[in-house]
Amino acid sequence: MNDLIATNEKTILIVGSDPNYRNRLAEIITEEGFQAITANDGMKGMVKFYQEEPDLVLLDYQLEGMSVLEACRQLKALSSERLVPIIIISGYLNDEAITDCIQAGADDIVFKPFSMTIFRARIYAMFRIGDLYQKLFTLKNQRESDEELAEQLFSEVVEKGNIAEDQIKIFKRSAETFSGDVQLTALCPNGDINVLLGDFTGHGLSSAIGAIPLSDTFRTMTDKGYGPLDIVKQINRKMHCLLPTHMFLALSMVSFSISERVAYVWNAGMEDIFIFDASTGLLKHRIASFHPPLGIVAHLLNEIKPEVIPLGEQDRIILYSDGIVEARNRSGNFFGEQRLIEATQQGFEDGDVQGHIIAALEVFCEDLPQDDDVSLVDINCDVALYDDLTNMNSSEQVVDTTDVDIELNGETMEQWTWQMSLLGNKLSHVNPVPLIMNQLQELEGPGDHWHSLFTVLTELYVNALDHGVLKLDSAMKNSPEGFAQYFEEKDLRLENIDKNSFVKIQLHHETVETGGRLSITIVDSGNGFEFSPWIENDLCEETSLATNQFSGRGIKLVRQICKKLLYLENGSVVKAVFFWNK
Amino acid sequence: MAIISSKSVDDKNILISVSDRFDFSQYKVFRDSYCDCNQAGTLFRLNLSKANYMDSSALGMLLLLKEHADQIKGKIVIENPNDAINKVLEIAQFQHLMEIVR
Repeated sequence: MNDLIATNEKTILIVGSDPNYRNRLAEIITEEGFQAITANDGMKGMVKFYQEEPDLVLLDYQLEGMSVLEACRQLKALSSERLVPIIIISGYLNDEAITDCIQAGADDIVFKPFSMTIFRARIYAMFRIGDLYQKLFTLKNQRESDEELAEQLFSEVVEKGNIAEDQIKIFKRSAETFSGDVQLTALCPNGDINVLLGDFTGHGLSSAIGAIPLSDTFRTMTDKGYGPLDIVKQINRKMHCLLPTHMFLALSMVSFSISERVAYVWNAGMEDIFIFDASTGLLKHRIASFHPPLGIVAHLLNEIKPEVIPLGEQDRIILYSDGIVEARNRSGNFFGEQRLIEATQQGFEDGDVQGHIIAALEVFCEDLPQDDDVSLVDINCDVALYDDLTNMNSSEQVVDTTDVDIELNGETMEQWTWQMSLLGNKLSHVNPVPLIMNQLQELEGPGDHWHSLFTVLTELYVNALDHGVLKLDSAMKNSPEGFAQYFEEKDLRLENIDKNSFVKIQLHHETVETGGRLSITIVDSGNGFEFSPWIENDLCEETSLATNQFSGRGIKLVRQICKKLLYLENGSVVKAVFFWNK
Repeated sequence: MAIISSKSVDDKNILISVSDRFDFSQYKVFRDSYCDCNQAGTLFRLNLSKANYMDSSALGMLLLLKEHADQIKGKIVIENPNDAINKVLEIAQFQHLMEIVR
């Protein structure tokens, strides 16, 4: 047994008023190779314990200065961070007295007279338990500090990139250090905003594994301008590869289009998404889950598309995880949807939705521990609030174009041309804009100036596809209802697209001293379209746009950003020239 | 016991009945109820009429059963889920993945 424990490092404190008793025990202990220290009453024992930090205490039941039970309690209180076993040495004790000792904190009792062999064995047994306790304690501390560190890293990576914190309020409370819930927000190149709330199966470390690849995919693709459907597809593919069979990611995602004033809403396995009118408290829309959680099937179910919801200035979109509605009280009832809706409506009245929901939840659950992660995202749909975020890019660009115009006479240093043609049903499956943006950044390096180019390319390409190839009438988009119809019609026409349809995109780039000049030409297979009203609109005052707020913004935006914009062949050919500064 | 399974004579028809709570604590016994059934084309009937609660880890367990069934070209039918369980299945849109009979 001796070789298991390094005896010379152990110190034993002996407390008892009888000097013969103390000396006898000290002798035995020293013979065993331990250090012995002694104290003749309870108070002195406490002081020695505090000063010398012994590894074990031998306590005489007949103690002076304080009761043995009080001594046990105080010793245990002094050593809350480590196990210092207490062995009481006593004559005969009845059952009740023994129970009292154990309850006060004694770990063992040795009755007099005792054999030396058994006494030694008891001490070694106590040390063994103390050592195990110490190991456990160290491991627990280590785990806690690892988790804290990992959580720190984790929130740096996952949540650091979030934007618009004042307009999109996020609340989260984890059931364990690591959360299975992930809340992400990111800005698209055209000023739209993507908001994602994800809930991985379970909670704790294992459920958070997917969070970093999830946020990576979400941010990178949003940044490159991929649409919400492409982003959801890619997230699904990633999660399918990454997560084991029994794990998945429930996800709700809102792509909030500032320019169109609509939300593209995804709900794959989350609780219903709510859209309220905050001025009246009316629950206007409720979007139930319409797709299994992500990571289960290799490809998204085909027939399923995001819902398109027109938004008013007072609208608020509320996303939440099941941790809220499934929170239980003492009687085992769920917090439920109705309480959530009521708390949200009360929150609109005094402007603190989050506060009201959290308070209602806490009142309901009292002091019961939280079973699951709780997440809440409150998106304010007043587009005016997002001016600061979205204007940053376009106003920068306006300055750019004027500056570069002067430099244009400078020498052309180098040039390249790049083109791509999309034919037939490729038009319904491929969005060429992110591909072009990738190419451009490969060739000319990354930079913020590309954000406005993204808008230009998207607007021109969408016009060529919608009005040229698909012959959709933009007048349909004049009302919110028509807006949704427009997209249904678009999907329908894309499905039945003529195989000879095409859109050709050509870019010609010339490097100039201060940056570059990019000429964009887009040709489509259509017969042209009515583009003149839009151009005229642009010349009129802002008010004319208000009557036609769902269409025509695009061209106006392009004209603001580009030095030149020219429609030819009745609109089936468009040329635009874009300048950028290094 | 919360999970009882029975086999037909030809081993191609497995009935698994879950009662009370269907969650991760049932993982091992649930898995044991089907993992030895390797006959091609086996029908796995999961009777939930006596179950009153199901969490997301149970959905994960259904996916494991589905994986097993797919491997042997078998089929899963979920029978008689109560309202609460049906809500869970509905949110997860599991009707796209397996047959659910109410």
